[in-house]
Amino acid sequence: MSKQYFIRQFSSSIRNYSSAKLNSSQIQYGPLSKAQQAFLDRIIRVDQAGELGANYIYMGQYFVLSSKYPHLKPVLKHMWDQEIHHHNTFNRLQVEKRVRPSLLTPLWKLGAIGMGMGTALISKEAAMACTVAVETVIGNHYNQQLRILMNQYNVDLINKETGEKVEKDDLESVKLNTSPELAELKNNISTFRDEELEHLDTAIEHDAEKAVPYILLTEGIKLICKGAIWSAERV
Amino acid sequence: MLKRLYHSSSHIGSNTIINNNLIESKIFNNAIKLIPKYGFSKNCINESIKNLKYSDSLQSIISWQSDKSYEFQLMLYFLKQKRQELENFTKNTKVEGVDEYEKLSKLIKYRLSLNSPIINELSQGMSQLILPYNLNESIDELYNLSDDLAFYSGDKSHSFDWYAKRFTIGSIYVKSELFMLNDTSENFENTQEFVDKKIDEFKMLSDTYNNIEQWAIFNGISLINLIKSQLIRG
Ligand SMILES: [Fe+2]
Ligand SMILES: [Fe+2]
Repeated sequence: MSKQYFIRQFSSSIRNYSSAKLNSSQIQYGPLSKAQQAFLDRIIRVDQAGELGANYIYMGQYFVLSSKYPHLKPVLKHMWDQEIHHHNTFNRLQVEKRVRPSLLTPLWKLGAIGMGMGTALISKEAAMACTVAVETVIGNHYNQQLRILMNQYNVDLINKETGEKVEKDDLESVKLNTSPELAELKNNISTFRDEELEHLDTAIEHDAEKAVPYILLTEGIKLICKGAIWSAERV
Repeated sequence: MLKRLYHSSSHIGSNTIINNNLIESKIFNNAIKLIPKYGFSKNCINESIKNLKYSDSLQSIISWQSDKSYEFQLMLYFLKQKRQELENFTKNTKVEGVDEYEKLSKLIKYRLSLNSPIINELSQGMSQLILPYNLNESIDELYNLSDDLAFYSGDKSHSFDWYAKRFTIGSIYVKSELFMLNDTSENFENTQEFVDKKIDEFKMLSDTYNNIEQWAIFNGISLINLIKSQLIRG
């Protein structure tokens, strides 16, 4: 034991002495476990389906409301554009990361456009209540995903030159602890979550709570969204 | 079903098809060289072990791997090895083509060309694949191949067409392979023509979204029957 201890002390003092911290080009990220891969697979599939849904809901709302209420037109358009960007991002990830899209995609399209148009046809307040419900569920869902990505994605870092395991202290920056791939994903998800919460605020500013019957509408839609998330993760 | 996982770009080694450092890989890699002599047989694996000067007891390594027969394991390994070679090919060579379909046709032809050293034994190996108790793993591997072919040819579908495409590519591949079994033309030229013809049909039909779905469903039903009838004849 003591011999190993000295070797370790010795090598770490050499490391400190040379004090050359490793940069991104000098390290390599170890493989993900099957469970980690499976979770990423699900994240991308369900988020792609979710953003497709959001895109189509706003499309349906815009179609019905933009001519009747000109003052809502730019508000809806801004949110819709953001959803299109979210949707495109997950479409790209689905292709690049070779994730199977949800088999029920045609159904999500139909359901979402129906929900968007349907609530908008009831009233503009009902459309906003729909937004409140959807964004609440999606915002929570993104937070859950971020928590898991923060806590359960530690992998070994390997020094490219020596093939040895790299300790965290030897990195040039703590950011290098996370691979660019996972950093990008987390970054996207947290940006999107913030934007979803903005949509939520916008909807409340536009009298979502005046929709009748508000509770029935929002709770019903929340249930539908949760059911859809459950299926899109699996099928 | 469809157990393929997320493909990582930063985390090297997350998606390896074959790990050549494993002892069973060494046995199988060597056995594949011996297939023209011994066929897809248990004997082929035993000869490979002998040939590598390993102890006879290593046979048990293969039976620990799975409860499937040696013959089926050899065939499955052969398919994975060739899929690995296809991946290496796409990494080293840029596959040119005016569109996805032309690239797809080239990729299928390349993959089929890897069959030529063992073409006389191939129907023996294929008959292992369609045994009812092996069918699940065979279909998984066929799906892996279609997914690779679709990805390397530049597929970007996001919806139901994603499924239809992989299904259709798989069935084109199997039909072409069956055609190849009886092809005596030089360099399998007739098989290459056959692939081109099937890809042209695929391209024509996929212009209409609905057609590709119907076509895929129709093909799915007839495919298994076709394999059975061809193998009995051949
Ligand atoms: Fe969104
Ligand atoms: Fe949103």
